[in-house]
Amino acid sequence: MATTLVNKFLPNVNSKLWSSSTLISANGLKSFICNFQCRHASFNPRELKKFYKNASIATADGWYEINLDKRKLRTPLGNVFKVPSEPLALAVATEWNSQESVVNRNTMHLTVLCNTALENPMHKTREQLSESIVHFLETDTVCYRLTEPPELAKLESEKWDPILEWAANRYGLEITPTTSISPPLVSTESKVIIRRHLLSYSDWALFGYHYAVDSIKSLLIVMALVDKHISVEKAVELARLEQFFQTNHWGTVEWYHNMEQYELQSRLAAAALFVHWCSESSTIKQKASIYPV
Amino acid sequence: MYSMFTLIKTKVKTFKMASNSYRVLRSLSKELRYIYKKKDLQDVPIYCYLQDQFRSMQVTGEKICREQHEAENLAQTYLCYLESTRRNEELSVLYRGKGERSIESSANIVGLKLPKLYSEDAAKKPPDE
Repeated sequence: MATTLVNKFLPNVNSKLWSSSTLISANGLKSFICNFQCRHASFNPRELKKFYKNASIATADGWYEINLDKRKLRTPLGNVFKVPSEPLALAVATEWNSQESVVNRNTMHLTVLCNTALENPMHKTREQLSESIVHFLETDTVCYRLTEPPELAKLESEKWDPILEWAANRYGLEITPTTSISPPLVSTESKVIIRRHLLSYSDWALFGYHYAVDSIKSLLIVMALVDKHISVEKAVELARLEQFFQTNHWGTVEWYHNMEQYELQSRLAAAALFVHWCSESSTIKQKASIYPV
Repeated sequence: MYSMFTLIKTKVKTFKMASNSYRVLRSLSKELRYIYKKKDLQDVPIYCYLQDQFRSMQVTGEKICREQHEAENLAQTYLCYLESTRRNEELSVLYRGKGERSIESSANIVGLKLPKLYSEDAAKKPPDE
C-alpha cells in the first residue's frame, strides 16, 4: 500500500524497482509474459551483425581509440571513438570482443557511457548534470522507510542506517528518513556539500555518476560505492532491499528477479569503473629495485 | 618479542590479502576465457594489463598501502561486471520470446479452443445424416 502511494506521488522513485516486489497474480502473470516477449521481439529493429574479428586499442594524441580489425570504431554521430584512459579502452575492446554473431548494443554499458560522454547528446552542462544528480537525494531509496511488516522495517533500518551513518561521518550530511509520503528532511548545507563534491569530478566521471544514480535511484548508495565503501553486489542488494525481502519469502522468478539483479549489477559496475577510470590520477612509486631494470 | 609478533601478524595479513587478490585474478581469467575462448590469455591485452596491475600493487610487507585495496576492489568490480553481463545474457537467451504467438496457441494458454472455421471443401460435402 505504501509502495503504490509513493509511486503515485513521486514518479522519480524507480517504479520498476518498487512495483516488482508486489506479487503478481496468476492473471497478471500471463499478460506480463506477453508484454515481456513482445518487448524483446520489437526492441531492436535493426540488429548489427558482428562484422569484425578482433577489437584492439591504439593510442593517438594521448587518447585511446578502438580498432575493429583495421577500421576505427566510431560514435553514433560518426566521430572517432576515443577515451582518456587505457584500462577503459581495454575494457571497451573486451566488450566488443565478447559479442557473438550479433552485436548486442544494449548490453555494452561501457561503450554506451563513453558515447554519451563524448557527444553529450542532451547538451548538458556540468551544473545541470550535477543538479539532476542532487535531485535524486530528495527521493533517495534509503530515505523511504516502510513500517508495515515489522521484519521488513527492521531489515531496512539494519541495512540502510549504516549508509546514512557513513554519509554523516564522511561528508557531514544531515538527512532524516521518512516513513510517510512527505519527503525526507535534507538540510540545505548537505545539498551544498554534495554539489561541491560532485563538481570536483571530471565531466566524464559526472556522466558515469549520473548513470549509476539513475539506474538504482539512490545517491547515497552510489556515493558509498564510488568511495569503495561497499561493493557492487552490496549496493544492488541495498537498492532492491524490499524485493530482496519479498523474494526471500516467496521465492524468485528467474526471468524477472534474477535478470533484473544482473542487469542492475552490470550497469552499476560499469558506471563505477567508468567513474574510477575517468577520475583517477595514479602515480606508482616503485622501490629501488635490486635488480637492474 | 613484541616486534616479532607484529611482524608475524603483518605477514599473515599480507598473505590473506594476497590470496584474496589471487582468487579474484583467477575468477577474472575464467571470465575472460568465456570471452576469448581458445586464445592464449597471455596474448590478451587486458589480461596482461590486469596482471601488471596486480604485480605493481603488491604489498611489500613493510607498509600496508591503500593502493592494493583499491586495485583489488577495482578488479572485483570488473569481475562483477563481466559476470553479471554474461549471466544476464544467458538468461535473456533462455527466456527470449520467439515473436508473437498465433491466435490458436494463445487461446490454448487459457484453455480455450478456436471454433471450426468455415471452408469451401467442408461446405461442399453433403451433410451426414
